[in-house]
Amino acid sequence: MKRYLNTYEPDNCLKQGYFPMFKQIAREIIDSKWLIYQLFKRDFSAAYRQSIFGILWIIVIPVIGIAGVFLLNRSNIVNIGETPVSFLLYAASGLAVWQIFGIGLVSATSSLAKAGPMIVKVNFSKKSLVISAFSQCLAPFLVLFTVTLILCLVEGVKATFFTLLFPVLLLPLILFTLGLGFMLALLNGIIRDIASAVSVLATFLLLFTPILYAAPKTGGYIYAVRYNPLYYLISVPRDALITGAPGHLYGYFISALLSLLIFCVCITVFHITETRIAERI
Amino acid sequence: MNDNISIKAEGLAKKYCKSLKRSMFYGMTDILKNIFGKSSAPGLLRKDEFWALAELNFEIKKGETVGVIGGNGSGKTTLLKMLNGIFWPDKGKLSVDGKVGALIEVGAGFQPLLTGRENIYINGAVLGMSKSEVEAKFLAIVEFAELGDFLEVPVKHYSSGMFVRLGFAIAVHSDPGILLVDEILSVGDEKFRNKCQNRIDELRKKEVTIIYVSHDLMSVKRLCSRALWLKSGEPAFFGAADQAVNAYLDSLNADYNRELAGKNKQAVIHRSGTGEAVIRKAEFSGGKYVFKTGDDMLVDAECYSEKGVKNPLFGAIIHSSSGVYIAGTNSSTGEKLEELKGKVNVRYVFEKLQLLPGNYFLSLALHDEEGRRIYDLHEQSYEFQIAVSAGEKVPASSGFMKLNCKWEYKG
Repeated sequence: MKRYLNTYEPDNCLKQGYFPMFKQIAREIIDSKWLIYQLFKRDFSAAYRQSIFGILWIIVIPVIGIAGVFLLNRSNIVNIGETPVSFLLYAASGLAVWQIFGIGLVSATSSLAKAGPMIVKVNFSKKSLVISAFSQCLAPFLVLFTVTLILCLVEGVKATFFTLLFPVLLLPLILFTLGLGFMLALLNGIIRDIASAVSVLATFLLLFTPILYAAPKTGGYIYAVRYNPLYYLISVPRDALITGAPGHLYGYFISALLSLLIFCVCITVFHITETRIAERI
Repeated sequence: MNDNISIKAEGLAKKYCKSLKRSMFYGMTDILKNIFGKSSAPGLLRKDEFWALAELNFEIKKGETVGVIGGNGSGKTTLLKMLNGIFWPDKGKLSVDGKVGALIEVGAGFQPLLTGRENIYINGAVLGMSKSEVEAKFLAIVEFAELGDFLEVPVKHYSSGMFVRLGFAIAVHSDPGILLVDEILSVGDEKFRNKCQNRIDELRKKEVTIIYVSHDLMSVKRLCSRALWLKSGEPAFFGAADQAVNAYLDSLNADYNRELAGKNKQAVIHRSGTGEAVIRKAEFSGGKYVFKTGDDMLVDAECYSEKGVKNPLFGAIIHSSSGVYIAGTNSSTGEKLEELKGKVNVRYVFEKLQLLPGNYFLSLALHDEEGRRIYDLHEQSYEFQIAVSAGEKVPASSGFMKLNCKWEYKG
């Protein structure tokens, strides 16, 4: 029979050492798979339960965004630049990958604060809350990914080895977003301004990162793109999907390592400090 | 920790911060210190911090039912949250051996838009049940909660009773080794309370350790072998439930007594009468303002008449705190005073007071033999209290007076 022996002491985690702590984190996440799924299902079902159009709303916002930029480009107000495929496919695929970061980060950040009443009454895995909230990006991602696949078929894009690697190439972006999500959820639990700031920042990053326009090849802005890890984490999987030949693999590799580092540091910090969440939230 | 020990607290303490802004600041600095592997020195108090719970040392054996009693703000809920692993100690060590189930505001985490069925799965998962466990106990949960046709209805359409029933049903079916119960039995109707009580009794038979927090001291005596009395965050008594409850009640009565003494001292006397004779002052004898049903109540009055009055009568009336007339009497039935002239001390002896628990007001009167001429009347000017008696299992009387009745059966 499983023995549940818990010892609670101040600064408990610090006494354990890092290796047992990582093992504990991994065990907790594995043990909470079903809880994560239930929390995801709860939020997803509740979001669309009292709506007539339901899940259709997921596609409305990206379509308006794509149409807006397309029209601005046609009117010569905004210069999209030269995209490797049609603008529609370029924007849809970029936005599909962006959902993982944009929606995932915003949802994860507010996850703990939103669940405040539950956190102070029931003891359960807080990591599950952040992961399930991050998973809310799945639906919009899958919808736009399906649109992208249809457009790829229509435009006759050929699959290559890199196309098949698409799910693997997304992993660094997932780790990057989840890592930041853990940290920001924690901070937002204490200071509620964080969630508002993240929403604004996400909108800014969507415009700042070449997703709805081609990466510039000249000018000072090229440096801002070059040192933006998000650009590599989004453009490489996207290009693998729509061109089959992604560039900037070196930048992507460095960004992937950075993502892994951010994820490990942030989840460790979250684990060490999550015991303080309930009393501060 | 010894195998037959379920919970062990060693020098347990928890601090809170009075200021929200400062609490945010402390939260951030503590997190930063922990990130860099440094202790946040939780054992020290900073500005605006205070100990909500301090110096708790106890051991609870497996299968034991222990009550936690104390006034509001004494630290009962904080202790339950620590036992549940929601709050962590700032000092000391807490060891908990067993899966903890909590009946604290059951239904936390219910999503109102989702159906009862969906919420059973979600809440089950939140309470640490696996998918197979929820599926195996699903029917028992539905049956216990008496959901009937409401299983597929969003829980926002549930009555408050149904909501609590469902939350309770899931919590008690999560097979806890330690069950934390916080005032849950005060929710719901009589039938539900009996059902909860039966379920808790079943869990006790299964040797589940139960920590029972309640203001219902009778139920603490009935259910618990031992009880912890918390006073302002510190343990005031930990021992046999009977003794703990009695010690707590004595302390409460002492508090009430102090409170009533203050009130009576500051009370404005509502006086009327001719003034031929007066009650100069009156007070409860020995400064005792809190009594139990069946106690004697003594009131000392100093009466005075300059000219003198013949055959005066000393009256007393008791009103409830809401102003309902309960009973009145005067000295015509007892020993009479032929004349009141100058100063006379009068002691009112109310023998074996048959009032039931509650607050009451005493009026004192000084009048002539026929009761037509009121010399002095102090109307509802003296407050006293009949305290709850810890010995009664079931309140035998209701209303204001204890009825002494015998029942004879024939045939």
